[in-house]
Amino acid sequence: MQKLLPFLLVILLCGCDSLKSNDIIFNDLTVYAPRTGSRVTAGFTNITNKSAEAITITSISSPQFNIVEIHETAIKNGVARMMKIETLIIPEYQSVALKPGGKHLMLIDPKMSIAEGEEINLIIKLSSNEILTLSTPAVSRF
Amino acid sequence: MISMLRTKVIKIIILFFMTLIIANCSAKQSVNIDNEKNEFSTVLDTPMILSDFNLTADDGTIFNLETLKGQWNLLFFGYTHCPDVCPLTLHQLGQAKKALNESMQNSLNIIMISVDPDRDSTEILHQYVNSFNQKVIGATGTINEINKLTSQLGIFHMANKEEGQNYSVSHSAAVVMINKNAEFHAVFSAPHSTENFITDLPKIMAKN
Repeated sequence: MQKLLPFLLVILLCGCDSLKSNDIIFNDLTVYAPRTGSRVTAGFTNITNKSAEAITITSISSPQFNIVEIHETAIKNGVARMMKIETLIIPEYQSVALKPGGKHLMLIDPKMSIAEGEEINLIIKLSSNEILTLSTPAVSRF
Repeated sequence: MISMLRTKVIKIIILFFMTLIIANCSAKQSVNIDNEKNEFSTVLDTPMILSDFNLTADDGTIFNLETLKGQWNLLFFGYTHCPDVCPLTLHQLGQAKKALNESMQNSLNIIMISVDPDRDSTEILHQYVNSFNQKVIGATGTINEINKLTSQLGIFHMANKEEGQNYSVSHSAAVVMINKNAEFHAVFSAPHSTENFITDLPKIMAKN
């Protein structure tokens, strides 16, 4: 059910007449609890830009992880390779999917043990210096 | 410097041979599509005899060619710091195995060989493989011993250590099928899906 709902989006720092709270929507946000034995996990979401201007995500952080990056998995000639994406651009009136096998959030080095159901917070910084915060409970994968 | 250059040359040679093997398998696939109706896998016309290697299973026991005998084995080469392709593929294999009949289920192993032995101790690997719903066997070893196996199967892997401590590992996403004689029997090329495995696994296993 939670996946069906747009996630709570809070604009903490807003540049006056720029981004409105409903201009960028994160649907189906899913962050997996790190698998036992692994220091990394993945997060997925579908980001929609409802504004008339492109939105650029410049960094993501989380109080629960030392590092959060955006990566893209590419399988070329049968070889899977992950590449870091420095900035993620969501063009005007378009969506960008972070999904398995493609672009995804890479959450590295948890600061604490994270079990299923524990809240994961994401702090998303935009090129406009606006900061968005998202929150979702960690889910167990498979 | 010379050592780095040598490593790069070795990697290029491995990639070259991997390409040759994949190209060879692809050529055979056109035959198999007609004769065996495998849609998502390539079955070798003649299973390939493998040379021995010496790895350690996640439970601390020896994992070598002998370990593979007597069972069908699906080998995936990955690493525990892989957040996307590796857990997804292992999950798909587990789901596919669950869909097979009981006899086939009992004669099929799912195995993850970690190609990141610097970070994946057998203890870490043990925790990792045990976190899946379906039984997964983990194994790893020295790079030299891993390469003894991967070079025969056309599996490429390269730790991108220039990325720093949290480096990624580029690796072939193929799933290799080893038969009960511990021979290289078939390969499933990426991208994978549970349905693809469910479609072809029974055909391959039933014919042998």
